[in-house]
Amino acid sequence: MYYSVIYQSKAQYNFTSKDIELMLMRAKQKNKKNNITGCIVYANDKFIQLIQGPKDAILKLYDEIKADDRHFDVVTLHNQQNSEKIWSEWSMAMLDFTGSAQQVMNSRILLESYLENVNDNKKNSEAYKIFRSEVQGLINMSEKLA
Amino acid sequence: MPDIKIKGSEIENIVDSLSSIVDKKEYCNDNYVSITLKNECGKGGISIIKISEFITSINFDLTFYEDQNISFNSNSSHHIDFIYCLEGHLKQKLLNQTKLEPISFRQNSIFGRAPKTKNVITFLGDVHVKTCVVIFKNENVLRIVNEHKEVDLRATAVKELSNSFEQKDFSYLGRICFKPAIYAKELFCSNNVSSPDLLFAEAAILNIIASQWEKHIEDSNSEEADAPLRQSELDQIIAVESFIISNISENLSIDRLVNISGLNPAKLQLGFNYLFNTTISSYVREKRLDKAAQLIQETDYNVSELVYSIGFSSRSYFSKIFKQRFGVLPSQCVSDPNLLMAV
Repeated sequence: MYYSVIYQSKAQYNFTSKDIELMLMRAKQKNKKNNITGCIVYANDKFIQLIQGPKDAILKLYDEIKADDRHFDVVTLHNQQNSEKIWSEWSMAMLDFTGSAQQVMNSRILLESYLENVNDNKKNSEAYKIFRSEVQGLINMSEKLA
Repeated sequence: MPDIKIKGSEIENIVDSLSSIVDKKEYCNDNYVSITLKNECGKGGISIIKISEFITSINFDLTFYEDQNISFNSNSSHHIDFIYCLEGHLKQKLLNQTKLEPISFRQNSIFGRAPKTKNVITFLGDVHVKTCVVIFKNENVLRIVNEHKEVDLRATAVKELSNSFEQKDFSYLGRICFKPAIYAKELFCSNNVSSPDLLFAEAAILNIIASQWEKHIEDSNSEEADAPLRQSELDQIIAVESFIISNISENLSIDRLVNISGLNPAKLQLGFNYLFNTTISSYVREKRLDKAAQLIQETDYNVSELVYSIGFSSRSYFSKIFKQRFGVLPSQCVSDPNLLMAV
């Protein structure tokens, strides 16, 4: 069994894409060690992140995430046990919806295939449904603002 | 469910042909109908908007429980269907092909049909779609120029549109394009249609046709017309490339990139070769070395941290190819980043 957390938060105003990249590089090393996988989406100065792994490791990581002052207004969207991981291969896939229109479009294309190329069993999981609808909501919102 | 056959482009005919799946219909006026799907077929609804004698849009915002074919045909005139998925994806039977082809999310699909030719699209079971099918009745009368008659801008534009497509069968599955999305959203946003919404809807439908047409012209003139892959597949390759850049420390094996892109390994390699003139693995390796050089300049990472951060597992291998590329060892650069500046 795996434990999943999905949350949304707002980035501090001075937190750049470069900072996020460096943060993720460190995080990924730790995730690999702790058998944690997931996906992070950054759009419109907001994050939505899915983390999945052993319960203890996830809860500990989530406490650290909540205490991190590089983002704020952390809202938990999902927090429960799942039978399997949605994307077991990526230690933390990053989809960045900032930057040029081309960059945003690239991420949108990839998000679509990323969400689509998951088996039906996983698609029916609560974590997948919540992640998908929250991420689509966030992206649609940033498309409207653009 | 049996196939649904939509004949012609008159509102009444369209509503009739959908009757087997319709629970209730609501006429906002003669040219704007909203219908709700029967519970046993799926969830959601369809709106049908006719903006002129020649242009009608059918907008699907629904999820069928099972695969559902919907065909479009007409006995009399040539028609062009502009299909666009704002959300989700469909399948379509292209001309001279037996296999169904996916119409991807936000991909430009234009289908021309002479009288009696059918355009069959498949709505996939359990896949939520927001799809517009704008039907353009491409009648001969549109092409007749009467020098003495005053025509408005729209009539001139529609004549140009008619002229730019031959009146024969064709199927075109083009690039992924986001411009129509801006307009397609207008057709799906409101439940209560107010009077100004009618004008917004009309403008949106014209904008959708214009942006799909514009993209079609762009594609036809593109240098990539002789590319070994479809242009939409090249778009996917470009998307994969940008994923590689944002996720350089992940394990970026071909298998994984295949999983994430949905393209098969051969297409992925072919596309990389075409666009970047290199194989995926050497592309990834070069990008990792670029990233290493950048990290040396911007951080105080030691060599082990560098190796990890850019997704290598072997320190000695990293040092070896780093030296091959930059002429100095990473350990030397970590202590003196200026060595890299000179490279």
